[in-house]
Parts: sequence; C-alpha cells; structure tokens
Amino acid sequence: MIATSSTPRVIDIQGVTRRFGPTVALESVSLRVPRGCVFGLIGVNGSGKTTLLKHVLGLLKAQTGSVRVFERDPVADPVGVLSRIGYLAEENDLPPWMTVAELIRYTKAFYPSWSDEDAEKMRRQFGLDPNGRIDTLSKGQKARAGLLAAMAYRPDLLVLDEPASGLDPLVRRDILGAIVRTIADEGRTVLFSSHLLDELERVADYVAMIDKGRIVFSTALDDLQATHRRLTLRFAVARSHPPEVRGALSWEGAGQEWTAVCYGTTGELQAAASACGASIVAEHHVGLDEIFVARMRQTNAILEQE
Amino acid sequence: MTPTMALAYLFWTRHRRGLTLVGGYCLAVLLLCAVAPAGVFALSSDESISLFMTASIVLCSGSGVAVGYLVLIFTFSREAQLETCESSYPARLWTRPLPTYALVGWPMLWGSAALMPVWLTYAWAERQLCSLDLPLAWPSLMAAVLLAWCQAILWTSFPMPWLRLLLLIPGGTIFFFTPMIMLDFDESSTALCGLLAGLLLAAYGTALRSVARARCGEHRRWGWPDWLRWPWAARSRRPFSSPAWAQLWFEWRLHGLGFPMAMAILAILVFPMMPLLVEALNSSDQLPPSLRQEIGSLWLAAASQMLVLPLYSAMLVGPQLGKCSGKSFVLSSYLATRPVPVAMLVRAKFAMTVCSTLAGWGALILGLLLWLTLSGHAVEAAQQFETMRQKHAPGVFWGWLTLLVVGVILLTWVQMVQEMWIGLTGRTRAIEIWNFIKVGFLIGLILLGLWFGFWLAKHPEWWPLLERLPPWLAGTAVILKGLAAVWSLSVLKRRQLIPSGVLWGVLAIWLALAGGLFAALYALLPYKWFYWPGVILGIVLLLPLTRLALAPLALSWNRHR
Amino acid sequence: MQIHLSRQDGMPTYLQIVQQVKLLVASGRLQEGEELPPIRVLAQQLLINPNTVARAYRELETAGIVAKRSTSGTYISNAGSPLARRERLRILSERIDSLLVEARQLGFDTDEIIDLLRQRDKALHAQSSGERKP
Repeated sequence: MIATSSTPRVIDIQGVTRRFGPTVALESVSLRVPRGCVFGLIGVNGSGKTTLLKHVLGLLKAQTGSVRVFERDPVADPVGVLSRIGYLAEENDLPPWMTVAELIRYTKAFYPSWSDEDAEKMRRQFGLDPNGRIDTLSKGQKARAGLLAAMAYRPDLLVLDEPASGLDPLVRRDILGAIVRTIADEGRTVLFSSHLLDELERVADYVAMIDKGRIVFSTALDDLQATHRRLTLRFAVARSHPPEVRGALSWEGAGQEWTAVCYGTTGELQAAASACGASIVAEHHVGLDEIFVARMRQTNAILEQE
Repeated sequence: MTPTMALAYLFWTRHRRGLTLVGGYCLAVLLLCAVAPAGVFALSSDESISLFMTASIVLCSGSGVAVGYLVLIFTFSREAQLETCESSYPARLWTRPLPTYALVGWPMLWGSAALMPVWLTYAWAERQLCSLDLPLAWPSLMAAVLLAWCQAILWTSFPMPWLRLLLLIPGGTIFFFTPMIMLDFDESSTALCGLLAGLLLAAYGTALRSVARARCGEHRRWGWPDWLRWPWAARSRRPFSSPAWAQLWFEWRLHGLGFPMAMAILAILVFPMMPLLVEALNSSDQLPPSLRQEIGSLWLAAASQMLVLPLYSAMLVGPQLGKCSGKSFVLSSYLATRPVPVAMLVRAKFAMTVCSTLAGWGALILGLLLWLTLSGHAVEAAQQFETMRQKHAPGVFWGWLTLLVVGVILLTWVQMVQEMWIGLTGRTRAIEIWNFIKVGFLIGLILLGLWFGFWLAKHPEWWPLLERLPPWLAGTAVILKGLAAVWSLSVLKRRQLIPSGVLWGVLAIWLALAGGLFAALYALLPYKWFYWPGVILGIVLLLPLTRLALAPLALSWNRHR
Repeated sequence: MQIHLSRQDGMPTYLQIVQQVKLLVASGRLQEGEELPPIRVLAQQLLINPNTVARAYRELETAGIVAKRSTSGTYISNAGSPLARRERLRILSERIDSLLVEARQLGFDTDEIIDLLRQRDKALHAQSSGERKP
C-alpha cells in the first residue's frame, strides 16, 4: 500500500523538538502516519518512542514544531482528538481500586460509540472476572483490561506504547489479534511501538526507527525489506578489517569472506563490491531485527568515530 | 560494606538534603548558644517579652518542623497512603539480607538517635538563651516513644482501610496533650522513665510482629459480607447518563469519604468528652458570665466543637484533594486521555467537595443529636435553646442562626478547596516548596504580629494614625483581590478552558455572596460593633476567587506538560 | 486451509502464503472451486496484516491460480493442472539439489548416489508391500 501525498493523514508531526532539562528527548522529529495503516515505531530503550507517542496524545506540548492528529492540535482540542483515540500505556495505570465491571461502566460513559457486545465478548475472551479489583490482577490481565478499555468503542486511532513488554505469549497474541482486528475495519489506524520486531514485522505496513531522539528512517516495510539484503563477499586476499563499501551497514566475518547487511539496489551493490575487488557469493533476504541491529551498529560506529 | 551499613547508606542518600538541613539547624542553634551571652533572650523585664517570645517561637517551630520531618522519613511515610490496609514498610527492603528484627530495629534506633539531639538542642537553647529550665532526659525518651509508636502503627497492616487513622488520630492527639500533664511530674521520676521504656519496648514488639507478618505476605482482609454486597452491586449496574456523572462517581470513590470519615472519627472521639468540656466551661473564670448566660454552656461547648472539628478535618483532607489517583499528584495517562475538557474534570472535583462537605456536616449534626439524646442532655439543650430564642427578636435570632450555620459550612468548604490548585499542578517539587513557604509564612506572620504589637504598645503616638489605616487597608485588599481575580479569569477566558458564560456566572455568584454577607452582617450586628473595614477585609480574605480560578489552569498544566 | 509461516530466511510473508497456496493446490489438498478464507479471517488466524493477505491473493490472482468472484470471495480456478506439474518439478528439483550438495560433502559421487537411490526404492517398496499384506 503506497501512500501518496493525497492520502489523508491521521498524524502529522513536523519538526518537533523536546527537551527535559538538559537532555534532548526528541530532535526535529517529523512523522506522517497515513490513514488505514499499521505504523510501527522501533527504537532502543530511551530513544524517545514514549515521548513521541505522548505528543500524539497531547500529554506533552510541542516545544517547537507542530503536532496534528485528525488535523487538530491535541493540546488545544483534547476532546475532539481523544474521543477518537484508544491508548494503551506501557506501564499499566488503570485505577487500581476499580473492579473490572466498574472500569467498563466508567469508561463507557465517555464514548458514545461504545459497543456493549464487543466489550462483553472481549471480557469473556480475556477471562476477566467482573468483580475482580484491578490491583489483584496479574500483569497480563491488567494489560488485557487496558486493551478492553481502549478498544471497545472502536477508536479510529489505536495508540499502543510497547504493549507486549513483559507479557506472556498468550497476552501478546491477544494484543496482535486486537491490532489485526482494528486494521481489518476500513479506515482505522494503529500506531504502536515495540521491541518485539518479529511481531511488528508481521502486522506493520510502515516502520519508523528512532534513535536518540532522531528519526533514522520512516518507510513502508515492504520497501525496507526490498532494499536491504545480506551479502557475503569473497575477497581475493584475506583481510583483517572490513572494507569500505558504500551501502554496507554492518560487517561480520574474517579472512576472505565478509558478510554485511547492505542497503541499496542490486546494481549499486554489485558495482560497489567489484570496486573493492570482491565478488558476491551469497545473497539473502534479511528480517527487520537484523536491519535494526545493523542500523544501530552503524549509528554507534559513527558516534564512536566522532 | 555490611548489609546494615548499606541500609544506613540508603537512608542517607535518600534524605541527605533534609538530614543535612536538620543537622545544620541544630549546629546553628548550638553555635548561637555558644556565642550569645547567657540569658540574652530571658524574660527579665517587660521590654524583653517580645524577644523572649520571638526566640521561643523560632526555636519551637524549627525544632517542631525538624521532629516532624524526621518522623516522616523514619516511618517511610512520604510515599505511603495512610488510609489503605497495607503496611507502609517498603516492600523493596524485604529482600535485603537482614533479619526482620534488624530491619525494624535499625530505623527505630537511628530515628531515635536523630530525634534526641533535636530535643536536647532545643532544651539547651531554651536554658541558655531564654533561661527557661526544661527537662532534658525524659522528653527525649518520649520523642523516641512517639517515633516508635508511629512506626508500629504505620507498619501494621490492617484488615480494613481507614482503621489505621482510627488509631493514629487519637494517638497523636493524646500524645500532644501528655507533655502538659507530664510537666507536673518530677523530672527524674524513675516510674516515668520506666513507663516510657516499657512503651518503647511494646512499640518495638508490635512493629516487629507486624513487619514479620507483612514480610511473609500474611495479610488478612475483612471484606464486606456477601449479603451486604449483592444489593449494592445489583443497583450500581446502571450505566452513567453522562461523562460528568461518571467523573463525579470517580472523584467520590477516590476522595469523597475522606472528610465524612474524618468527621465521624473525630465525633466518636470528641463527643463523649463533651461533659468534661461543659464542666470546664461552667467552672472557668476566664469566660465572661454574660456570655455563659446568653448562650448556655452546653451550646457553647457544642458550638466550639462544631467550629473546630470541621475546620480541622478540612485542613487534614484538603491537600489530598488535588490527587487524581490514590498515590501521587501526577495525572495518570488513563485519566489524562479521557476525552473531556479540563473544565469538566475540575467541575467534578468541586462537585465532589460540595457533596463531601454536606455529608460530613450531616454526620456531625447526626452525631451531635445522637449524643444529646443518648447522654440525656436533650432536655437541658432544648431549654437553653428556648431561653436564647426568647431573648432576641425572631428576625435577629433566626438571621444569626442561619448566618452562623451557613457561614461555617461555607467556611469548611472553602478550607477544603482553597489548596486544591497547588495539588492539581501535579509537580511534587512545587507542592513541597509551597508547603515550606506556607509554614514559613505562618511563622513569619506570627513573629511580625508579635513584634508589631509590642512596638505599638510602646509608641502610643502612632495610634491615631493607625486608627485611620483600616479603611485604606480594606480598599487595597479589595483592589489587589480584584486585580488577581481579573487576571486569572482573563487567562482562563483567553485559553478557552472555561466557557465565558460560566466565568461571568462565577463572578456574579461571588459578588452576590460577598454582598449578601455584608448586608446580613450590617443588618444583624449592632451599629457600634459593625466595623466595615474589618468586615470587608474578612470577606475579601475568606471568600476565594483566584484560588478557585487557578484550579483549571493548574490541571491543564498537569495534563499537558 | 493450513498455512504455516516461518520466520527463517527473511522471506516476505506474502510470498510464503503464495508459495504455500501453490503447494497445496499442486498436491491436491486444495481442490478446484474451493474457496479460500476471506482476507480478514486469514489475517486473524495468522495474526498478520490484512494488507499482506490481500497482496498474496492479488499475486495468486495474477498468476492465475485463484479467481476472485465479485463479493462472494476467492476461489481456486481450474487452470491448476499445468501448474501442478511445473510446481512439483520445482519442489523435487530443490530437494534433489540439497541431496546432491550433502552427498558431495560426504564424499559420494553421482553413480554411488544413483545406486543408493535404487536400493532405497526397493527397500521402501518391500516395506510398503509388507504393510499392505494383512
């Protein structure tokens, strides 16, 4: 699915910078999330994912730049924006003194589009006891309760902040199922950040990587997988250091054979390889986790050199 | 480093700023004692009363704040919630390789070791500077007992919420009054020291047992019985008709019962002691007999309690009302993402405080009536009421009664909500600084009043000038309040947090209330007692407008950081 | 219809679905005229993006394996037979390639491999005929 400039954008973040005291959490970040897609945000801990997501919700004010969600400013018009967003936070912060039934009853009052059948179906599927207090639930059950509260009114935008961190595989399947169910309805969008790259790879249409407050890339996942591959180069002479090949992100190997995750078209990479006297002996598809690790290694190597 | 040293280091690093301040204060006082000549602030002559009182107030408040702070940190109660069931001993310390008797004993020991120098410094300073002989030994032991029992009560897990407060409030009050009783005892009385040592051991034993049980995870809870729970649960399945009702329900569940519970607890404790108060009033020679005949000692006692208890409870409960969750002032992201404007959240809070005030007052009046009936004073009370009623014109009498009742209820509500804006900001540092400023301001005001009073007594030539001052003061106060109100309301209007219709309505209500009070007092007070600058100053200071207008601004600052 | 996705090789998900559907058709587990599950259902079953499933179905449609009937779903078309042989040959060639590579590494030459093939074929026949006897 290719987004053109005419595709309506659900989220439009332009040039947002955010400082917390001396630390810069986000630096001139721009992000565009088209409607009807699953947008994944990847990055190491502390790279600024949660800060960015909080800007989308209006919980943080943009110090520079602008944030527009559904073409409105979430800080100036919280009602218009938040009534169409469902949010699941990384740290569960549902009121611990409420029971599940009270949570459903309380959340329902805020959303006219709440669906009782959906809520009841989800509650039964998740196995949540209506009279159980939230602070007595396990971590996975708390996440499920939060997911129920965020999804039962069919929000146009579902924002999930590391939804599966620390949860068992059953709950992770529930969350993935929720994402797929949301996106299967026309026009609804999902924005989520995760460390579990294989799960993100399954469901995401677009991926953006953020590192130390800067966006490293923001493309369609298909394009990413099409332009990155793992090449094994064989050199005529054994080398102790990896060669300088344009497009190579990170090197592994020794002696005559070196393997790298590379970025570029096949023609470019062929040319670059023969320019330093090597032949390509193997070429493989590369998954999102390898791309991520290779990119992180590259940015760290650049920082070390500086 | 042994585990014990690690625990001590934990205390130190966590609270090093506060502990340094306390230590610095003690050192400064000792330095002052060493440098200043002995008895410099002593009560030797009439001129030195002001100096003596200043020195005493400063030393007392400084040591009081230090004691309060030390009790707070050594009972781990900075982050604790007092009304819940759980023990407030931090669970993260249970995995330390220390036996339970050490985990309990060391904080008790270090706390006592920190408290004793504070008392000793205070007593020594009073002895040196003010020539006031205060006992050194047993009050330090008493401070240790205070800390130990606070720790014991706070670290016990109770089967029901609010039970801890039932023990803590009377315990604290009794403790407050014992020094006055103890002053009659001989200082080196071995019986007293023995009693205190026994209390200390009892506190240690209780704390040890509680923490041991909490460490093993034994926690028995009493829930509501099923037959009581079922009709409640069945009734409350109806969905809320609007977000406003849902938010009101939320706020009520979170804070609503605080004030009524505090009132109920205090009523249970205080009303049985009313006969003593009546006796004291009857036999007191400081009370003008005309007043006693006018109102009757029974009603006087009741009225004093009806004034003190609600205001005290409102003062206790008020600072917590800014919290939007049980534990902290920070707005949780669940609440911050409710699709409602800030105005509605604040409105729900104010509505909850109104319901809470009315419920608390209902409980108090019910308690009073119950006590009157059960203790057999009902007939006497009715007689005194009749006597009072017949003495005055019906308009004046009922006017006064309505004014007093409505006025005190309104005052209670004002006391509860006037600090809400600082809690709603959600910034813990700001709240702590504000508390600090409040205490400092209060002490400063007392000292200033004291000095001004003494200075004024010595310079009678200034009195005519001062008599002309109050109208100017009243005018300045009105102008300042007007400016502050205009500023805050215009900021609200500019940021569109509150619809302008509501703003005008609030302003109109405030003006109507102020005008009504002024008119009522003008009508009811005899002419010579009606001092209009005083009345205006009172109305301006007591009726909050800016403090209420700051609440939506603060919550908006909390929600969008 | 049983589709199993594997995370190895980094092969795109839609390609894996396309290949497995081709395999199922080729081995006869999917008959002509049978309906493929709707996009939503398959996406929820496999926990992947419905767009991926849609793309796979489009590829299959372009390759002529399935035909989309308006509003009523996606069905296996009857142009499957010539594809079946080609598909079968492709699968077998892959297996033979890996067998040859392995055998070379272990030090066998082509004649030895052919002899071994004949031996194993006889043994399998004997085993299966032994099973067929009551």
